[in-house]
Amino acid sequence: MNGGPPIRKSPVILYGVLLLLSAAIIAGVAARLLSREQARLDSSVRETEELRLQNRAEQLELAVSAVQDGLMRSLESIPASALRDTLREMERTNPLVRNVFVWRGANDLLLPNDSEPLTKEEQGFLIRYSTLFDGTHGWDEVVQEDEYAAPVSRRLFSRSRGWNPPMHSGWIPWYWENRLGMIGWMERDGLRYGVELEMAMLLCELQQAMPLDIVDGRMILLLDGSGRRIMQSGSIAETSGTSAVLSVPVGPALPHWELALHTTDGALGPAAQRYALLSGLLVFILFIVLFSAGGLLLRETVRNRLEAQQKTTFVSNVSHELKTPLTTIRMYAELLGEGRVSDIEKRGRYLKTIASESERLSRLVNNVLDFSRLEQNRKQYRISHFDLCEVVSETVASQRIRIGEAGMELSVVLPNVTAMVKSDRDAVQQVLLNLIDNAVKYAAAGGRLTIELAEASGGFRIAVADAGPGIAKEHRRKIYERFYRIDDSITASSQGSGLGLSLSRRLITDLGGALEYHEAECGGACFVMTVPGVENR
Amino acid sequence: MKVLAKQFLAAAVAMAGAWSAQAESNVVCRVEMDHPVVLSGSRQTAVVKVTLDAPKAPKLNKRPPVNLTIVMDRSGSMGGQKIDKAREAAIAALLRLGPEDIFSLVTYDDQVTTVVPAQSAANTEWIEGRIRSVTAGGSTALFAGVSQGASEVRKHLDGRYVNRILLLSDGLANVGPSTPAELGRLGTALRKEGISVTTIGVGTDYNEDLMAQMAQNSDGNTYFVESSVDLPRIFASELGDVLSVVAGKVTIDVEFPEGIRPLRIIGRDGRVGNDHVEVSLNQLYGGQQKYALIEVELPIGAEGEVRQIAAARCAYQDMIANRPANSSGQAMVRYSADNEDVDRNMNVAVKKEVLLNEVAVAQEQAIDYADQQDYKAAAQTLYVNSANLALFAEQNSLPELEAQAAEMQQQAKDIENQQELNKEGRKSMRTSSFWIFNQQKSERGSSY
Repeated sequence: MNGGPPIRKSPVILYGVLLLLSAAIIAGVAARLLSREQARLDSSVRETEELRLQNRAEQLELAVSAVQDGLMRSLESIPASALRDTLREMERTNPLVRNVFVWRGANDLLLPNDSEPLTKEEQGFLIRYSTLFDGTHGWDEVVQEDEYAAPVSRRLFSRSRGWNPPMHSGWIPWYWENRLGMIGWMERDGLRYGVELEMAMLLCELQQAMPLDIVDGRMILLLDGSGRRIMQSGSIAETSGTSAVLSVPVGPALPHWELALHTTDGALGPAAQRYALLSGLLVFILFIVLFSAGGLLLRETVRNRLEAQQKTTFVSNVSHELKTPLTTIRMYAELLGEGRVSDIEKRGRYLKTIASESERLSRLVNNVLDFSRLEQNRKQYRISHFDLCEVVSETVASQRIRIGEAGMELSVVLPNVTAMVKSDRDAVQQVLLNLIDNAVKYAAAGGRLTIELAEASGGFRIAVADAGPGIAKEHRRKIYERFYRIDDSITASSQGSGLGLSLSRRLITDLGGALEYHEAECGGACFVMTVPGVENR
Repeated sequence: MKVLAKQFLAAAVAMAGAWSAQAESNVVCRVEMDHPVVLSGSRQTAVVKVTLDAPKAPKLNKRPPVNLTIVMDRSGSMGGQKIDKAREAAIAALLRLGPEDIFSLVTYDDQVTTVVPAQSAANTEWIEGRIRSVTAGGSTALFAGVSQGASEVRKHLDGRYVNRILLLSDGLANVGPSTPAELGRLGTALRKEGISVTTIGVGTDYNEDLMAQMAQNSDGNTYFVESSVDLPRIFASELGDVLSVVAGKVTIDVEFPEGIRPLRIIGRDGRVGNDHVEVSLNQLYGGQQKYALIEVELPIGAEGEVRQIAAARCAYQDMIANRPANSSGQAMVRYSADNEDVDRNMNVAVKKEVLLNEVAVAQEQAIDYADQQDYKAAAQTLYVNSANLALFAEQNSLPELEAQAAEMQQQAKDIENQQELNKEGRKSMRTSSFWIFNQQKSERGSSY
């Protein structure tokens, strides 16, 4: 690899970085947009809810004003001559009237008049409103009771249709002992008369104005000025200290009262959350798709380039491999053909060389053919029972001369028994040949080659060990890759196509065996192939 | 109660100073004095008793149709046997109603559900199914429950019906307005609409002040039920009351002639003017007697002088004929210089009612003292009044009063010894004073 032309890494890395960067930017921008959209959605949900709550508050206020208007109308229709009696009658029969009064000025009450004995209720009434009746508080001013300021003391009724209340009239919200009360009054002929509203009855009527269509997990509370629960609509399991999600004031008719919305999780609506989750997921998926597609593209590109380069090397290697024996064959054939070699011994040697070189050629061609078959998944195995000892001896015998010529001392160890296996005989032989070939090619300098057949678990193993330089650790995993050669240059000291080990490994794994690299005792390479036995197939 | 009514009737006939009202009116209005004969030559106070006697409800005639809402507490504490019994009781109540009647059922925990909207009670099968579907759980929105019940009743508020809410609760109101005063005001307002709330407290945890006040202000009844087993029986008897209402929107207006000044109304709230007194009662049951006791100041009179003391006018809605009606009566006194003459003519029945009401006032006061943890004062109040009662009972040989005096004495002793007024004691005292003030049929029969 180090000898080959370097892959131009910089543009690839640039593209990768660009892709990553743009993916990150897209994700970032999308997240930002999403969060903004989420915020917008949240605020719109909030607004809608607030509007709805406001609407409900208005309904409550409307209910209050309807009650107030009704009472004001009956006050207006009282004839001046029967003021006292009619007021008394109102108090007795109208459930919305708690007390009645006629007031002429500071400390001048005509009704109820404390010069005559009063009912307990009337006594309480006079105590509650003493500062109003003794003139301490102006009727048109802001009326206060402790810190609870009533913002509106007098209201003119412009909302009612077709009925205009007299100018000198109004409603006074009045806080006494943290409880809201209300006085409706009207002025006629210098007399102010009116009623105290029965708050219990008002609340009873407001109950009907409280919303009933409450979804699960929500609760609407009507709270008075001191935070007391007056009404509740809907119900949630409460933990102490939960504060309202939303609250709106009910309006001037019920000063300081408010409607508060509570939810189980303290958030508004699951819809918004679901939106965030869904779009977040989408963005994430988009990011993943972009990223993995980019990564895949990058990887494929790098691989393609690598493969193209390997194929080029392969072709030149194979051509070189083919050319060498052919040259030798041609040279010897020409010498013999010219008839100039008279020495019989020499002639025999030439012919042997021609035969061995052709053998090498056909081995090479076989390998290439098998390789292409395997690549196209068209390789067919011819499975048969055979004795592995026989194959080993046969192969060794055919290669003995070559090994001897390479200056290697050969030792073969065979078991005493027959080693019957069920496999493709030719393929096994091819693998063994490849291993021997490799040893001759790369480890001839070691001067020793050991081939050992032994029984292994589930079959037999053939170890081909040499005393050569061995294979460095960093290459050990790659040697089985096709076209891979440790020295990849054309000018390498040994010839080879880079196919042998890759092919051998595939063949032997296809047949249910394995091919592994071990380090030999003296530092050389030892390839061990296992072939499953008969009973295992 | 019946025995008492007979006694009164007999006394009324025998009495010189009392005039019976017109015969054509259904409700009889009688005015009596505790002392028909008073001592001449000195200023003194006397008690005027205005009694309303309702006729027996006609058994065979049509009774007025009932517009009944049952407001049932279904908060968590009602779980188990209580809710079972309550359901059973509601069904028993339903079965007593006829097709003319209106029935509705509202339940509440922290919110209110109208289980059965107001409708004819003829639809028993469906309603029964709905009642059986009620289960317990949640907290107690009592105000909202009664409000919803009232709105169901209001759907048929046309004067033809006897309107009644039966409130059943075992707890304290904890959602919405929940003070006795506030629910009392609701009761008052509902009475003005002609709706009565009868409250039934189950167990020992409910707020009896709240329940009693709401019932009192709306002229309903209040019951204290320790065991939920009693519920069906109480529903039945309460419904018996409802079914026999003969007069509604009852008001008494008593006029006093020149020189006679009303001082107070004993045990009731009402309007006390310079020369007249107004008391309003909501309704009268068939055969029931209700009265108001008014303390007045008499002018100095000469020996032998006969004076008119009070003229009472009672206005009411005749629930059987469904039309407004009224009746009236008046009371006289005779001045006498003879002390014995005065004592001999004392009206024992009236005096007894006065005493009983004073006792009830004392009981209320004792509860207040006990609430302030002044147990000594509470016991003292009860001792003094039980002694008064015992003395009167002995003088006039009234054994049932003696028994009550003994019971009071025991209560006083308990409070003094235990240094507390336990829940049951407080509830039974509150309930019994309620019964005295309201002169309604007592759950405990004649013993009140």
